[in-house]
Amino acid sequence: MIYCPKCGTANRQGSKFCNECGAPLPATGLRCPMCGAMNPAGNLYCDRCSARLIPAERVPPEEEKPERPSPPKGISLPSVPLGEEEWLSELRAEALDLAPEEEAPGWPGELEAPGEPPTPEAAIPEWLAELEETVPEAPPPAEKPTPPLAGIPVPPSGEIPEWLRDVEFAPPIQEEPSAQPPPVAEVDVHAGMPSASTTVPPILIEGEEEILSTAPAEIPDWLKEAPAEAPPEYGGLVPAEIPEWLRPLQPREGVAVEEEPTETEGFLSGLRGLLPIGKGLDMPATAQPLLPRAPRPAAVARAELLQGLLSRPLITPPTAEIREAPRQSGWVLTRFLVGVILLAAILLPMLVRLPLFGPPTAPTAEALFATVNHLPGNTPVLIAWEYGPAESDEMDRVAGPLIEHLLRREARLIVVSTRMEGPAAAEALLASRLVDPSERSRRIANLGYLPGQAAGVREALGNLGGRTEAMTGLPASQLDIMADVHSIADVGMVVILAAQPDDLKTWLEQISVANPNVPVVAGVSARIELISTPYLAAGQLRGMVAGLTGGAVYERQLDTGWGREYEYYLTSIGMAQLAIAALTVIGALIFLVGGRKR
Amino acid sequence: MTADLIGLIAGTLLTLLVLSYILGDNPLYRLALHLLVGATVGYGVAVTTVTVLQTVLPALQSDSPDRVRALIPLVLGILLLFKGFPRWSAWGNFSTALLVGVGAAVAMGGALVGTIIPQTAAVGSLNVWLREGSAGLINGLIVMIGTIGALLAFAFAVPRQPALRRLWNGSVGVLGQIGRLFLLAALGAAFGTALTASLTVLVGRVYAVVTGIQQLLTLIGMSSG
Repeated sequence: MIYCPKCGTANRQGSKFCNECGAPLPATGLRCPMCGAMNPAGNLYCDRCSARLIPAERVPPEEEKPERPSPPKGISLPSVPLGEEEWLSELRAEALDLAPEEEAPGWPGELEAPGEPPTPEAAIPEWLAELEETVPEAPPPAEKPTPPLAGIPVPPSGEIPEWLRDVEFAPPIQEEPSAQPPPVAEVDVHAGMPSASTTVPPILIEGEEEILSTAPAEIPDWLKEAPAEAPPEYGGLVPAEIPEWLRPLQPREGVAVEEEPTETEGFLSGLRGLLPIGKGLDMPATAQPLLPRAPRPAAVARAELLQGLLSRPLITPPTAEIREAPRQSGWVLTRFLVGVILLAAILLPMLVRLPLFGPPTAPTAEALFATVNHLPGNTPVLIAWEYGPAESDEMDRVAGPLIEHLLRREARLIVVSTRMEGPAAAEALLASRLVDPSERSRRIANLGYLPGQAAGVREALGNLGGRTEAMTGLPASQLDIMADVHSIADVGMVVILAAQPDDLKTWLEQISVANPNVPVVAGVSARIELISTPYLAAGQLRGMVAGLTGGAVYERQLDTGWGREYEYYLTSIGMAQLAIAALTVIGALIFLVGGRKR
Repeated sequence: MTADLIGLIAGTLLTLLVLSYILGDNPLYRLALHLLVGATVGYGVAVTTVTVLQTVLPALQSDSPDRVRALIPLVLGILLLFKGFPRWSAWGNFSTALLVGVGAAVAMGGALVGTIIPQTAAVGSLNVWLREGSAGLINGLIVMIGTIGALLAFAFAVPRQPALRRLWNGSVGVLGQIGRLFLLAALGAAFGTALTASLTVLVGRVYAVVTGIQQLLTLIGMSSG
């Protein structure tokens, strides 16, 4: 695929114009090593996946120029020396804007300025030394006129001028063939360099052989005029001629380059022949292993921060301990005071009879009392005992009057529970409410624990006769009380005693599925009174005793003799609620007056 | 009588240990807590074992068709035990799938028939409201507004277009604010009922401690007298 450089649309390989916007597509490109997409030549990153197209080590840092970038192995990059925008812009400025006189301070000035002749070792840069090693040694011409640039001193630093370093690997400019071909092999930078007949092998980037070999070399006008003058001598050294491969890159004026391709886009617009586009550029489809890239400073800073956090010792800061110490004593004192006040409020009604609160009212409990009162005698009543010892202080006073009322109505009580502690809690309350213990086997059947939550309830509702009595271990089918009770269809009423909302919902829902016509009543904790009320309003519950208040109302109507205990309970709860309200107000005032410190 | 006396003393002491949490976390409270947790777990294991074994073992020993019916859950239960061993836990997958599938099906069916349909019908029925006169109608309207408002209180997204956003804020936003008031009232009422239930338990424990001490003193007085 070729991605349009304007709109980014993916076009079929080989397309010349974009199918979306019609923009011309690059004929050549670089294949992304990560996703395989073709990218326009010149891209540093893939248009599709943003992966780097050129290995990172090929891109020099901004401050320093690359001394000698070498192409990656197996990749030919003749047309796009990426990452060298700065030197290219310099070249453009030199080629288009700068006059030859202005370039004098550059490398020609350095070449022409006589200076201290350096020693050959100091004058030869590394790359020239490498060239020297590769070229066979030939005797210098004896009588030939010295080339105008022979013996030009190289800067004392031993380095190539900056622009030369930059252009060293730039592709040659294809110039118009000259009528008088210049002397090509006059390279004689210093003694020992190739002679006139020696051809210096240019430094080529892979794939550029043809371009370089066909690039004609021409001596510019200023160089042609140079031999007319007497060549200066510098300490016995004669100026050497510019090497052939450097000559096309030399700044010149008025060189006709009409036939060379001109860059029309990007930062290279206006330059000619600097970046001849090679054809068939491609990257290997498989990603080459790259050298690790130098981490960015921001990444290094983040890594150091993370390392610092991880290397911290896992201890609580001492400031927190110091802050916690005074708060601990105050916190304990506050809790102690709250506890003492609550206990005093609870115990006071036990010592003194306080007629602070009127008689409780609970219409739902009265409705339930009427429903049970109309229950025929000897009716089997299924009781879902869904609370344990933890809730028995409240629930026993909710369920007690109801159970006693059912016993008074000569009902047969069949007890089941989905809570493991339910059967034991049931047995304790039934024993306290049953006047004659010998009547138990005739009046009560504790079928025990029902495992399986909702599925267990559903199974039990359909198979009550198949269960086992928990206290005696006898099968329910052998009990007299269960003689005609096999399923929920044989039950005259269902009583749900629940302290948690899920238990109430589970039983109500499964009864609605199994036998929606059976009357259902409930005795619930004050905690779930709000959740139970909608079922009562919808008619799914025929009556309900909720909380201690409901139990007290039911007890008052039944008149079982437990009225004094209920009165004490209600008065204590009222006193405790008053104490809590007072403590809340006092705490809020302290918070407001004493400041909002934590 | 001896068992009752031991139970009375143990109950009173454990209640006092639990109430010592008023002074903060302390070893006495921890002791009572560990005893409660241990006793609960032990009791639960005992009840479950007895319940299951009492149901399955007699059926396996009989020659009736119940033998086969008892064998299937027994095998499934044994397979479920493999869940405790990572290497063979896959053997319990079928039992787990059966448990989850059957449980979910039963719960879903019950919720639909027992809660969703009846509650929706009860809340949305105008006849029910009118049957109770003006009070019922007002109650029904309050329930309807509260339900819709509570649902819209959780609508946090707004349209991107300015005109639709203004319309949204003027309708859904206002109803959402009303719904938040209903939520606040409901949460406050729930907290109040929970506090009442907790206070009932506390009163019951204090009452049990006082009663137990009175009975102990009576027993000591009787024995000394």
